[in-house]
Parts: sequence; C-alpha cells; structure tokens
Amino acid sequence: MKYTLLLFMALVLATANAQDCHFVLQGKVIDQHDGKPLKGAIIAIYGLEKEVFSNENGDFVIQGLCVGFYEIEISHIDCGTQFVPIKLERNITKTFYLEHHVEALNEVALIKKVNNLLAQQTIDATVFENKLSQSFAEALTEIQGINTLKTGNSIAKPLLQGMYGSRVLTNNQGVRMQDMEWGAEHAPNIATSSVEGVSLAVGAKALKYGGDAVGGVIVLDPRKPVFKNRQKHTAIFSAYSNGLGVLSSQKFEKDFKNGLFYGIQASYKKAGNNHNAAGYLQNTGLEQTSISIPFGWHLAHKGIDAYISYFKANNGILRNSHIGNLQDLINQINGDTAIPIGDFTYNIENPRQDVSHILTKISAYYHFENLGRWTLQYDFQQNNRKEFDVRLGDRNKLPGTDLQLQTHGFQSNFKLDTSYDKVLELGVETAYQTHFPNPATGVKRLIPDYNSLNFGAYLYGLKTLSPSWEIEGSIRTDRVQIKADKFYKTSRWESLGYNTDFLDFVVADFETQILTAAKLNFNTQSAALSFHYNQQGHRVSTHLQYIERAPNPAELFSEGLHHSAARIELGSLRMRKEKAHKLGVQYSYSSDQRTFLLAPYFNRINDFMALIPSGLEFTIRGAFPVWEYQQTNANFTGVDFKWTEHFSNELKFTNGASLVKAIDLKNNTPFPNIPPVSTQHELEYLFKNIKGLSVQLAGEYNFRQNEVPEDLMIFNPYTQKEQLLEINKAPNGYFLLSSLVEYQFPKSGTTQYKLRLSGENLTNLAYQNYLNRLRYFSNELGINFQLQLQINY
Amino acid sequence: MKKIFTTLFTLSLFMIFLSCSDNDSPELIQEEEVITSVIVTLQSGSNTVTLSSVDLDGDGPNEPVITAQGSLNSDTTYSGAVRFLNESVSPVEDITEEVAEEAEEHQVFYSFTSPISSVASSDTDSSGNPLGLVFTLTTGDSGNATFGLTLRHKPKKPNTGILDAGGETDVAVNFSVSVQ
Repeated sequence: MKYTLLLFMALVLATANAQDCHFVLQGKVIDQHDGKPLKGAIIAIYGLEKEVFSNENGDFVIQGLCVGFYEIEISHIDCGTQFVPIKLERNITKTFYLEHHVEALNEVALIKKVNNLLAQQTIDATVFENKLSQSFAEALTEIQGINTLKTGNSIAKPLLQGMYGSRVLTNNQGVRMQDMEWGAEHAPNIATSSVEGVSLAVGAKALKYGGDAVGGVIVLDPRKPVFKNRQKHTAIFSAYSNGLGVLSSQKFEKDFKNGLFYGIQASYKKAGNNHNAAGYLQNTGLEQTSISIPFGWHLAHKGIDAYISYFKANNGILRNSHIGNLQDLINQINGDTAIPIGDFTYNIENPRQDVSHILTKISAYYHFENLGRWTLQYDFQQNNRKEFDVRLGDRNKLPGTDLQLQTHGFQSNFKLDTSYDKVLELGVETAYQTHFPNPATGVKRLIPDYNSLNFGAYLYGLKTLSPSWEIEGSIRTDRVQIKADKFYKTSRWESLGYNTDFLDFVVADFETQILTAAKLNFNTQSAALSFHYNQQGHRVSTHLQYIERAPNPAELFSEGLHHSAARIELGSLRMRKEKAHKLGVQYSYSSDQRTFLLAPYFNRINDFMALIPSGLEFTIRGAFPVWEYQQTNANFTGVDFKWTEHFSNELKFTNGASLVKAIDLKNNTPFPNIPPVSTQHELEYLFKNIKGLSVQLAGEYNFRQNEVPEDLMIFNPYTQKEQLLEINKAPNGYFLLSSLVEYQFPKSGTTQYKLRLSGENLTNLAYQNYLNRLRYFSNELGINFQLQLQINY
Repeated sequence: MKKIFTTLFTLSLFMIFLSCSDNDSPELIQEEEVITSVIVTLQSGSNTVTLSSVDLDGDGPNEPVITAQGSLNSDTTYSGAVRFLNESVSPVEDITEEVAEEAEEHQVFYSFTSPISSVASSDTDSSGNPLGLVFTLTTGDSGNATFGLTLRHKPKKPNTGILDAGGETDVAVNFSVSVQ
C-alpha cells in the first residue's frame, strides 16, 4: 500500500519522456559508527530501475532523474536498509549515514516511506535481534511510552500510554490481531524473532487500522520486496542463564529482480524455572514455537501478497500464584505465607497456559492508470487458549478454560493518488468472528459462546499545503453486532436486575441456570485531524482525535471467579460505547548529532469501561471482592520524552522518560495498573581501533507509583476482624542496570558473524514491578546473562 | 509458486467452511468439582451436633447458609467428621471421597476459640501426615465458641500449621457453636 505513490510516479515518469529528466542525485554514504565512508552500499530508487554502488570513498551518482518525489533506498549488508524521501527540483548532493541500531527516534532520517508522516516512533529489525529472548511486548518497550503489563515473567501485554487490551490494536501484516479481549493474562501471540519492524500509528492514519483504538495502534511491518536477485539467511542462536533458556531463530529470504519474493522464518525457544535472589521460582518455564511464511509478487501496477504464520506457546504460571481464596491472597501480600523455593526443571506443570495462533492472509492490488490503486485482502485467524489449573484427580489433564476464536476478515481499500500533493483513500472492511468455549472443561465459561459481525468504512485524506505544512484527516464508521448465547446463574441474573431489564433474552430456564441469547448492536463514529509542520530538522505534529469504542465481550459478559486474582469479575449488559477525545502534540528534532522528542498528550474518555471493586461476596471458599465493569469518565494525561546525543563518533548517549496520570473522574481516584514515572539512560561506545566492537551500558529507574486506588478494607469472618487488603499498594522504586557487548567479525565473503553478550539486572536486585500482576507472589527475576551468535550469509 | 497460491486458496476456503459449522445452543455445564456444602458432625454418646454451611449457587451472589443444630456439652470429648458435598448436581456428589483418595494432596485445618479447648486430626494419609477428615474436639467451660475449618489442596506436607502449608484453599467456613 505504501508504495502506491512511488509505483504510480514511476509509471508516470516512465511514460512521460517529454519531461525534464536531467537532474543528478549524488552523495556519500558514511558509517555512522566510525564516520568512515562505506564502500559497496547499494543506492536504489524505489520503483525505478536505477541502482548504483558506492565506491571506496563512499561516493555515488545517479543521473537522468526527473522532477518529483523519490524514495531512496540505501542499504549495506552490514547495516540494514534506510529509506529516505527526497523531493527533486534541482541537482542534489546529500550525505547518508548508515547505522546498525536504528533508534526509535531517528524518524526524520529514517522515514520509511514518502508521506509517512505518522509513524511517530519506529523500531527496526536490528533492535529485535537484540531482544529475541524477550517477549514481543517487552521488545516494544524500545518505543518511548510503551510499558508492559505482565502476568509472571512469560506473559506480557503492551501497555501504551497507560492503556492495554481492546484499546491498543496490533496490526500484523495488515491483519488486525484478534484476542486482546481475552484479558490481561493473555499476551499477543507474536514471536519476537518474526518481527521485521514496528511503528506506532497515531492521528488520522490510525483510523485506517480500526475505529476503536482509544490507546493507539502498533503496526508490524510486512516483508517488502527489494527488486533484485538476492538470497539472505539469518541464523540466530542464543542461550541465557536465568532459566537456562535456549533459542534458535532461522530466517531465509529470497528475492528476484522481477518482484517475486518469498521467505520462511522459524523459531524455537525453551526455558526452565527462572530464579531471583531468593532461589528458583516454581513452574516458570516456557516453550514457544513459531513459523511464518511470507511470499508474493509485486509488479509496478499489480501484485499479490500472502502470509501464513503459526505460533504456539506453553507458559508455566508461578505455582504459588494459584490461590484459593482471599485469605490466601492476604496471607501472600502480607508475607505471612512462606514463598516456596523450587528446584530447577524444564518441566511445566499446572497451572499453565497453552496458546496458539494461526494467522493467514492473502492480498492483491491493482493500479488503475491515472486513477489509483485498489487493494483487496482476505484474512483468517484462529486463536486457541487453554488454561490448566490445579484440579482434583484426573481433571488435572482437562483444561479449566478452553477457548477458540476464529475470525474471517475481508477488506478493500482504494487509494486515489493522481496528484503529488494529495492522497485520498477509501476503505471498507468486514469481519465475522465466532467464539467457542469448550464445555468439556466442566467449568463454567468465563466468556460465553458468541459470534460477531463487524462492518467498517473509512475515508482518509492527506494534503501538502506548502513545503513545511501538511494536513491529514480521516473519518470512520463501524457497526458491531454481537450475538451471545450465555448461561447465567439464576441468582446472578436476578441480583443484577436482568430478570426485569433483559427478560426477552431468556431462552430456557434450568432452575439454577438460565440460558440467554443476547443480541447487541453498536454503531461507532470516529474522526481525526493531524497537522504537521517541518522546518530544518524540526517537526511539530498536532493530532486531534475523537474515537468511539464498542464494548467487547469480556466487558459485556464476564461472570465468575478468577482464581489467580481471587476476585469475582462481572461484565454488564448495560454497557454503552466509550468516547475518547484526544489531543496529542509531538515535537521532534533531528540532526546528525542529535535527536529529540517531546510528546505530551491528553485523552479525555467519557463512559470509560473499567473494572471497579463494588463489594464483597461470600462463598464456601470464603469471601471474594467483586469487581464490576462500570462506566466512568477518565482523564489520561502524559508526556513521553527521548533525547539522543552523539558526543563524538564513538560515544552516544540516550535519555528517555515517560509519565502518565490516569484519573477516574467519577470516583475521583487513580486507575490501577498505570505505569509509574520511569527514566532510561544509555551510553554506547564504539571502539575506534577495533572495528565492529561496541559496548552499551544502560540504567533504568522506575519510581514508585504514588497514585494508586485505595486499598480495600475486608471483613475477615475467620478472625472476625476488619483487615486491609493491600492489593493496590505499589512496590518501591528500583534501579536496574544492564549491558551489551557486541562484536561484528570482519566479513568473509558474504558471511558475517555477530556475537552479543548481554546482561540484565546486573546487581541481582530483589525488586517488585508494579505492572506485574503476580508481584504479590514473588520478586522479579534476578541477574541474567545472554550469549547470542548471529550468522548472516 | 502457482501451487502455493492454489494451496492457500483451498486452505482459506476450507477454513471458512470449518468455522461456519456450529450454530447450536451451547451445552449446559453442571460443575462437578464445586463444593456447595460442608457438613460437620460432632458426636459424644447420644449427643450429636451438626454444623453445616450450604451455598448452592457457588460463586453466585447468594451467601452460604450456615446452621448449627444442637449444642455441645462442656468438658466433653467429641469425635468429629467432616463431609464435602456438591449438591448442585443430581445425584449429589460426595467430594469427601475424592479428598480421601488424594489424601496426600489434601489437609483439613481447624481453628477454634474457647471454650473449645482442642481440636486434633485423628486420621492420616499414607505417609503418616495428618489429613483431618475425622478429628477429636474437646470442650472446656460453657460459653459461645467459634469453630472454623479450611480444606487446602496441595499443601506442603508435613507442615507446622496452616500458614506454613501454602496450597489453595478449597473451603473456608466458620461456625458459631454454643457449649453448655
């Protein structure tokens, strides 16, 4: 989609010979790490058959260019690829710096595509190479403003400016990842090693990915053809000390000059019990397998893309986090229960989570001359999730939760791009989804059987007003229809007053349970406007957004006891859509020595759906607090900051900080799970005398979260006393130290070896992370060393 | 290459059919492993006291109904037994049997206030550690006492008491009982 304009221009330029086509682009390619000229870099103009190599001095010349916009691709086998947009009106001389670690901020130098004014922050594949042993969400934290909401060590969900779940969309290969409604203990099913690059879509462009992204959109780049005969293998082997983990990732990519390409990526990861300063954590191993196959054929005016991927993970869940009642939880929080110290083992026992995700897509585009490009896409996803709890006898082999979600998506996008200074896009999409909780578990379903049908349509426009001003706008409408078949406990149905308000939903009465068929419709409208101002490396973007989000099935239908959280969670059939009003400003500056980002935002959300404690219920297991989905008004205010300074060719310093405040306006209290203020500092030194050797030292300080909801007073019938349940109490601030030593061996032929040795939590600090839902049950992981060998050939 | 496309199309078509197959009403789940009722019987000669806590809607909003039939005599030793039932299914399921079968993975812990003076398990699992399905209870003077019991699944065994035991609480009930 993003090459439309370029391809189109290429087409126009190729046919318009009468135009003035005598301009020259010349320049120099320099290795940013040591400042030396780079020989053998490929400089290509996307969509044109023009491709040159830089000489010994890093110099190159491309002649015979016409007036217009171009996307210049500069690549070098050691350094990865840069895309730089250029507007050619006269002869241009330019210096390009290639860099190994593409930092989140280098956006001005690294804008990946013409007119991509919105990818606020990006990470490229090289960053992911360093973070392969981490989960996808943890690798995303390179982007300022992203944190993770964790359940133990292996399950991490991205937390974007304080929001997660349905409010943060993940778009993988042009497909909206489904599963985020499955709760905080469900991580995105993406293998870190399969990721090519990631960017954050904000403002007007975000509406193309969905109308309901109140928090934001995380976009995973699809594989792109390079239009030359090329074959690339990347093999990564990694071993790490904490949990004695091993990881292998193999990637093969093949490209042909005629635009045909394919690839295959596979990874396997296995780790045993993790440890911290106190000892091994029981049942914290994991096993993860992934495979993905992209392939396609791109021509200037038509093309086809396909993608198949499979992801499977078996995550052990900390044994002592599986508790029976509130008293168990209180005992854990107060430290009255001894934390069991395990042994090292690779065995994963109950409780554990077994998840898999199949994602397939096929898309095709056709370019109509003098009109625009039409893209069609079909995609299918199947998610499975099984939770194995500690149960009686043979039931241990049966999952307590067994969910299957299937989604078919179909979308069509038409992009009108007949003029250089404006773009208009019109898209429609539909998705059909079925959710099936397997009754064979013998346990009441937490999320019911449902099917949903969604329709969406959007209009997006971009206009370049002047060399420094651009404006974008988009509007979108969606219709969501949910049909759910759900059993309610009769007592619950009545206590919620549904027996009077939703009488027509009742299908059958089984005395203690009632079968209902709910049919709910939501219509949502969203709109966004973005302004951009560019001046000599300075850039100011202002985004105004109005977003409506329909409630998801968890918010509507949840009903039951969550053992791990020792609470009863209740959805509400009375949910209305939530409405967000967001203002975001982003100032960035980029020069050869410095990049700088300052991005404040304000998000006012009316009818914000939140889980709020509403009372206490008694069962034979004891008392449980009830958390109900309720609607309130919320303010999310924050700022993200990042600054990178190259003090010299050898020394680079990076500093980042994020702050977010989230207030429940109706109850005048902060929301839980909001990231505390954090700062990150990093020093990177590139050795002048030993080419290819670099050292990084990073420190991260997380403050204590002072704004937490009040703790609950619970009457303990056992002791006949009121007792404080310190469920919201935030742990103390902590400082973490990490390091990375990387050596790139001199290349032999086309083969290059890279060796990385990294260390995390170097001081073996015993600390708790406020954003880990299992923080009551153990400290975070202790020291970890990782050795990684990468072979490119 | 053509073959791959054909395969993919076939695959996607197959998946469409696959997903459009079920549209029936969901199956009713009768939860079998839920404990709805705890019944404690205390016996000394002809004096029988029955304590029960019954919560038929499980984790539903209704509170357990706690009853005490009879009262204990002072300065007496009672032999006690506890039964765990699932009365939400028919026929009623006796979960006590499952607990007894997995004695090594369970333990019933007791708590009390005076004038109950002691409670002790009188059964053991196959390793000789206390199980607690049967027990002896001794009373002192007259007055009102509280008697509580907790069933733990997968506790540490042997242990020095409930706090040391860990594991998951399957049952936690408290009874008020008068001693005369």
